[in-house]
Amino acid sequence: MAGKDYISEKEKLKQFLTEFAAVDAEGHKDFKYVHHLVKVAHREQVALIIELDDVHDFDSELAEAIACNTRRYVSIASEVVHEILPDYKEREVIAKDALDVYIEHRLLMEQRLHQPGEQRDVRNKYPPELMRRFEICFKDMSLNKPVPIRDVKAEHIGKLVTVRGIVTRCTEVKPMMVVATYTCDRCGAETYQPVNSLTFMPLVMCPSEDCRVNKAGGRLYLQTRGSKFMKFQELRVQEHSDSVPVGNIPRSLTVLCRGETTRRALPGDHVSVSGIFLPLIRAGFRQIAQGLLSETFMDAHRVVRLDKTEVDEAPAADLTAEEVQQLTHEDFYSLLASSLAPEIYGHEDVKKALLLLLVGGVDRKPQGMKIRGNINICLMGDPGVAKSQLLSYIDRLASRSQYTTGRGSSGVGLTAAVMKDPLTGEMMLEGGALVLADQGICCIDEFDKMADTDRTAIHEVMEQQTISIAKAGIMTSLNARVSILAAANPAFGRYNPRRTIEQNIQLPAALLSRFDLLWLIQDRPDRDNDLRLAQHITYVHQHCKQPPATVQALDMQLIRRYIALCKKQQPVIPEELTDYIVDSYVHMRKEARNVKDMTFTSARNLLAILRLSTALARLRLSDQVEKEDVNEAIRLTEMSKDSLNHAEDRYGRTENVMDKIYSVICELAAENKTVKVADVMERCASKGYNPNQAEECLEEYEELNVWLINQARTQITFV
Amino acid sequence: MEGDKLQSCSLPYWEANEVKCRQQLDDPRNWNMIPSLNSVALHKVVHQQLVRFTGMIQDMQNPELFLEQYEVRNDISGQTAVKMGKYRDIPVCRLDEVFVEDSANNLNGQRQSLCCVSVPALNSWVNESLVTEKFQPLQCEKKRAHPDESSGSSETLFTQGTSVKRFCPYNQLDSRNSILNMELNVPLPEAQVKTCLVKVYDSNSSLVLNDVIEVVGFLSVDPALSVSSVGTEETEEDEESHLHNQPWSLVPRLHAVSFRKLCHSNPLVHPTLCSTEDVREMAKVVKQDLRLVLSQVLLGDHLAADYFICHLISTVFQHSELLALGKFSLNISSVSPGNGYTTKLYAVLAELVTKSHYLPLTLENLNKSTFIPKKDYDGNRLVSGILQLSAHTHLVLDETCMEPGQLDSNGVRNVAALGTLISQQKVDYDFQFYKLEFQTDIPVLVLSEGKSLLPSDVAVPLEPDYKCMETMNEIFEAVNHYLQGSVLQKLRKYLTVVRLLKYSLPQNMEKIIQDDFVRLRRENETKTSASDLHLLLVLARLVSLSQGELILSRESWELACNMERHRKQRINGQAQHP
Repeated sequence: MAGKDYISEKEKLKQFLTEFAAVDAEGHKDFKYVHHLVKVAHREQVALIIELDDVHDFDSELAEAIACNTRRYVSIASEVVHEILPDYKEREVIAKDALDVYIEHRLLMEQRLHQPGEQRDVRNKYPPELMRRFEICFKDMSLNKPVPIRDVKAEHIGKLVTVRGIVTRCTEVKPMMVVATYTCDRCGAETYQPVNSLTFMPLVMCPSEDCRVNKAGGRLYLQTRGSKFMKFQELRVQEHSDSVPVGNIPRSLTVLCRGETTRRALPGDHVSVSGIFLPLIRAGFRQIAQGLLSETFMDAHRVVRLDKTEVDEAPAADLTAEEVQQLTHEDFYSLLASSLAPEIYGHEDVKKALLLLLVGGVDRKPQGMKIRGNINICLMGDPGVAKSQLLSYIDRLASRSQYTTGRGSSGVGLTAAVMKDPLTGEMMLEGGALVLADQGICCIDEFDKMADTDRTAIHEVMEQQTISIAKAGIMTSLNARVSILAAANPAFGRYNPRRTIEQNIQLPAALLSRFDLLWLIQDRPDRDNDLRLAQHITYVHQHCKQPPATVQALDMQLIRRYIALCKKQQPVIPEELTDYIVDSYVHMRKEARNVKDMTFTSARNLLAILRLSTALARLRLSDQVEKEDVNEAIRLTEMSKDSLNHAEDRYGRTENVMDKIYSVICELAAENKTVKVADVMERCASKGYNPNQAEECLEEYEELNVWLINQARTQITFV
Repeated sequence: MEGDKLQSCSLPYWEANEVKCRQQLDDPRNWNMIPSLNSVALHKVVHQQLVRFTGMIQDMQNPELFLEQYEVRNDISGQTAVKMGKYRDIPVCRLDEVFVEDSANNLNGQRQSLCCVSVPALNSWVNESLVTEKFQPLQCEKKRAHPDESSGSSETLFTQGTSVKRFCPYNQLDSRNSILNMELNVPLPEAQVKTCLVKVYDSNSSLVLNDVIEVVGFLSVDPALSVSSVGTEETEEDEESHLHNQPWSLVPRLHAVSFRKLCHSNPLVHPTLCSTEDVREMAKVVKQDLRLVLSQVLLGDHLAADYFICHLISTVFQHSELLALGKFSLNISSVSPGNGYTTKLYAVLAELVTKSHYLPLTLENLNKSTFIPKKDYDGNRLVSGILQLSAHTHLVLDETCMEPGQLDSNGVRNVAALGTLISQQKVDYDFQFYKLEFQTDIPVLVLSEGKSLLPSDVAVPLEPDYKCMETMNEIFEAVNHYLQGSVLQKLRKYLTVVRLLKYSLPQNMEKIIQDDFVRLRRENETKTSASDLHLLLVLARLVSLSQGELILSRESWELACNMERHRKQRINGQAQHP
């Protein structure tokens, strides 16, 4: 082995611990390790966490050396701390437990027993582990990416690695012996045995001077109270489902936690573990049995529980220049939208709406009133138009989401239920999908088939964003700040354009109006679309891959990070735009009154437009809404209305001017059999059709024998 | 003969002449001479002998670190020696030698251990012809000289090994089997199952779960291994270590020196599909034979027979995020229940294809059995389920034996799993904390009385000929009589080869397809959707391949369109006159 100068390394570490200071914003020096040391000295803190980031700032070589040979440096650091710790003791420490008392007594004994002239460090005789009440932990550099469990291999042995995974098993926390203390039944001398492995062979014969000289053959007895134990727990960490290559079984890693790293995680938790990867040496019989194999484990230095968002999101600031380049594309809005579910062909506007749903608008709380910023969208449509696929894609993409069906979720349902705990018999509240998706997205498939109890509760969720519970003596209000993405099937199998939406999906208007956007996805023959679809599908079959799109779809992870970045923006609507928005809304209301509308335009639509435009501003990473945002928001609302109102074009015929004029005339005629041509002309003009078109229409339908026109061409009589 | 040397090749000899040995192994003659664990009883082979094993990867364990090289020191003379640890489980240490733990010569290596089980749902004829393959040399192996006397010993092994199994009464095995199956962890309860723990040293092997592989490796049945399972300590790991260190008599270990993925399990066809041109040329004729047989079996329904052929040769050729291209699950409805027709139909199918499984969808089956493989964290292994099948295993679901009753939660899950299997060709294995998707390629045939409760790509209501209905038993007798000897061999070869042919869609067909689709969308009252086009393209592919054509021709496309039109008419007709 290349002889490394560990003495100088020790000096370096000492220097680091005593001198390292982080300079804060005001230029004050913060000797953070000194603070820690003081706390450790007073037994207020057990673990001394040394951050490799700091070590790196201090001496990059040292940091590297620590990362590569961590075990060695743990013992060096322990020595250092042990040496310097008494210097940080500012006051007398009250003994916390038996071991503290023991240590104190042992130190006193040692002092008393020694000859006054002898210059010896008082702590020398006892094994250092026995006298230490602190633990040294290294924290991996924050820049180091976690290593996939699959890639932790032989070359990582002895090194500090960070892995991420899900805890599948954990044992109870048990005491593990660190130093065994024995007393001799003859001479009464104490003997100590440091234990480094999982098993140890107890000592039997007293090795003390007295017994040896006298050949007394003193027997040793283990003394539990004088021994040092440590908390010990074994975890099994398994790969996350997304890091498993297709068709492989997830791999797992055994993690041994000691002391302060125990009790950090339970089965099912997502964790990030830094530790030293080491071979496990079994002793005795098992060693023979295991033969050439060596089991491996990870000696944990740091166990951190992650929640779902932390797992998925790397800090958004991490967008590299290249990625920013990708995103600051000319038309990044459409690019992002088309990157949603790239397998699903078309539906650009729906995807844009879904993108805005992911980003969300801004919450407002003027004078205690709460106006939600979350955008709710309902997708309706004929069976087999990829509604569910869109939903499941959004569920996968969103960092926090719940996927459920209106009927499928049993027991707890969508909202919350009061359950009786089988063990204690107490009543307890269990959140349903909406509660679990708080601050995220709740995708509800088969929205129309929802249970009645949930239907009433969902009204509240969609506007007030809370769920009130008054069941079995529990009265409470739970937060459910969710965006709802619902998919519904028409009541009669197919969407019937001649009926209103309420009739079509059998949901009350009160509920439907709470959706900011209602999309009807229909599958109607259209030559151009069909041809493009056919081309797409033949390409897939021909080349076994998706056709090269004009725009390359973005990576899911990138979208996720970008959305996280967008969510940090809090755009406001500038003063000068208010008039414009008000005008547009008034216009919309007028339109809605004039045209026979299958939807409803209400104040909720105005809020929807505001929400959508703030979401659009967020998407641009801007803190101010611009006119274009409002326009786009209005356009999306219009498009979603269009998808509902013009549903009659489904049979391959695009409704032409003739049809429209015809319907105008029919409307005019209503119950009567006759209509005046002058009236027709006037009405057509007001609707924006020129007289020629109206004339043409009259003639065409006359030829079809729909109506008769008198000689003077003043009166129309329906046949 | 060289091959003999390989058969009796010892591990030290292999290590000394690895390159040469590998070259020898490349020769299929030598490869086939190596005794196969699938048919040879374990007591007939010895420790560290080269053996073969064919099986499906059922589970993959965590990689193991082992010492590729290690040093021992002689206690007496003090001399050290470096020894090899590859292909071994137990270090070779004489009594006077000590293992040097901290030697610089110790080299760590990593190996992957795979739990392999003999291919599930393999039909009996495949097993039988595997056994008899020596006596009926195959076409591609004709060159091989008849084995001389020196290799005769292995032949007797073959026959003996199987005769023992064959005459084992199934019933006696049954009770023992249920325990064995639990221990051995196989997807389907079968009479003869072998498991094998294969250690693979090639770190960048692209093996995935449920692959069928053929491994050649050194058998490791050192008695010292089984000692380890007699643990003395009572710890939580006990169950795990017990399951992982099963006695070698039950789960032999194989240290792989070479392995290959098998794309089919048909013993009549060369493993790498060489010299299959003749099959392709004869395809049209053979297809007619097959059509004749199947239309008889399907009681005179020619359309159903056409679809059946396409179903038999279907394979998923592309898995993408949401789509599995090439799947062609078939639902034959209007099957009259209760006359044993479904089992007879299955018997014919089992004679034709290499791997198939018949699953009556009775309530008991649905509620009691495990369909989805599940991870057992106590034992740290994957507990297999019925749906853990290798590619191209035909799953026949018989809905006609379903009775009214209650499905429990397990049953509901199982039905849902069947649904996703059919519609997306994937199974979500249960890893308790999350589900992991595994792609499959299992053609599913559903036989039902009315419309099936499971989804399907193609539903064909059976329109039986009344004459055939009356003479059903005679028909099946005749078919079984006809399906023998060379005819049967021809059909079996045809089905395997045609499925694996390379197919392409020429540029000039694109336009025709697109125009047809647009036309279909316009004219058709019963809507044509994108999925219909997918289906049409798959059908066209299968029609082409079934005729041995590698490129889609206009005729095949039109044939496919016609088949679809007839089928839709039939469905509509049935809907109107139930």
